[in-house]
Amino acid sequence: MVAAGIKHSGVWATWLHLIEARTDHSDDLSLRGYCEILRNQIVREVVVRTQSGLAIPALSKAFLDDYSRFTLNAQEGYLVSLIDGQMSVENLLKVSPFDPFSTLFTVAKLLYVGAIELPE
Amino acid sequence: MSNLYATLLDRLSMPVAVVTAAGDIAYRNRAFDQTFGQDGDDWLRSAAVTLGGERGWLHGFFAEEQEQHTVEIELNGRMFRIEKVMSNPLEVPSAALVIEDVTLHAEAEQAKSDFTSMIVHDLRGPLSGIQAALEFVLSESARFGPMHEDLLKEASLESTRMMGLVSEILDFSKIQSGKFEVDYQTVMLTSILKRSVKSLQPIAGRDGVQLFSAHGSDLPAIEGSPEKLTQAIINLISNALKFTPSGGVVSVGCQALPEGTKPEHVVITVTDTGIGIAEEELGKIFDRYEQSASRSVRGESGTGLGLYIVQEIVEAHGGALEVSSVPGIGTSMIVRLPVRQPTWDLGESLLG
Repeated sequence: MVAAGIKHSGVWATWLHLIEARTDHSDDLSLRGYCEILRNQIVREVVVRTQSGLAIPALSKAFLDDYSRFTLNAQEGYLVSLIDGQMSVENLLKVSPFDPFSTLFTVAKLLYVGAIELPE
Repeated sequence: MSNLYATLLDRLSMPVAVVTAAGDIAYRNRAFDQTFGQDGDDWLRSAAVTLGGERGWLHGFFAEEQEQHTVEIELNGRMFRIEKVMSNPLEVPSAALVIEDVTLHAEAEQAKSDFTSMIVHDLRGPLSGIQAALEFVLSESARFGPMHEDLLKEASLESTRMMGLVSEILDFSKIQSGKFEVDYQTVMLTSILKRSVKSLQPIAGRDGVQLFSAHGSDLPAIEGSPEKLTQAIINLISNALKFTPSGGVVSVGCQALPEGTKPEHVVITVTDTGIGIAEEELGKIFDRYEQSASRSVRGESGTGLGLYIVQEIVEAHGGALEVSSVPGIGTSMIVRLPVRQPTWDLGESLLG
């Protein structure tokens, strides 16, 4: 079912769907496991996309034009404040107060929602 | 009972008896008489008493809904396995029982277990010496060239792996002989998770896998054995690393449930981006000696006891171990542990 979800809707959409389900079934261990599998997959993809952290993210034009249309939580907001178009993801991991896995996941999410972008 | 069945049953080498719900032997085959002689009735009565009285005996074999029911009892210094193979073979409430003297088998199992424990104990000593020597030489590695340093690191990692295999066999042997005990203490989860991840970073680095701690630092302390839980976590991470190709990610997460000031459980997840486990294999992975060859990416082999031992450790802590997997995407092992072990409150029970 999860594999079919990824195939049809992509990793992110499937992850969001599972997280919603997890809220209603917090005791379901296997559901928790599936959420973690997708979170790992998302982090693996962002590691590849950022060339193992060497890439330098920048705020997107859409974000600079109208940041208010992006709904960010505190962690995402904090990381956005660190992105200056000069710091690599590797250095971002060093200055981030969050653990590297969470930081990479947040970078992936910011890329997914289009708040930040990576150079071509 | 027809002559045909009686003749066939007499040819069997195992004692067979049909007992009624009243506890009388309605039929016995030749092997039964040869084994127990004319004292067969007394033997069955003694077995009934050993099993908790005649009522307990009858309850076990006649009130059980399932067709098969097996008990093992020790009687007069011998070990017997009594198996109900059929309900009501007669017109009255009755049960057909096969009785097997498993004394030799039990003794052989015990001897095997004792032998394994002894051998494994003897292997651990020299292995510890090799590990200590390698660690010392590695601490002086600046004197050597990079090739020698790499070889020493490889030898160190492999000796650690061998120690892991030897420890698994020792634990398995303890489980089999009922000597696997948990010494409950306060366990600082954050600390053991971090230590476990740190100890496996060299292997992850060698294999080109990124290994992350993906949990907060404010996890609750739980009741359990720090050594056993560390062993379980290291085992799960090692497994995840073994089955994750280079360029993959392994993460170790932990969350208290429910979130807040008084969590009742913690959930630890060890997740990889390995090639996953096929659905038909999922139910077998906790079986002893089970080796999921299809997941192996580096051709490493183990004892096939790792996950079986992890499950024993988790269950000994009153917890549960589950697995989720998406073939081609990854696998997550999920451990749920109670924050506090259930205790028998004598005062409360006496007060009702």
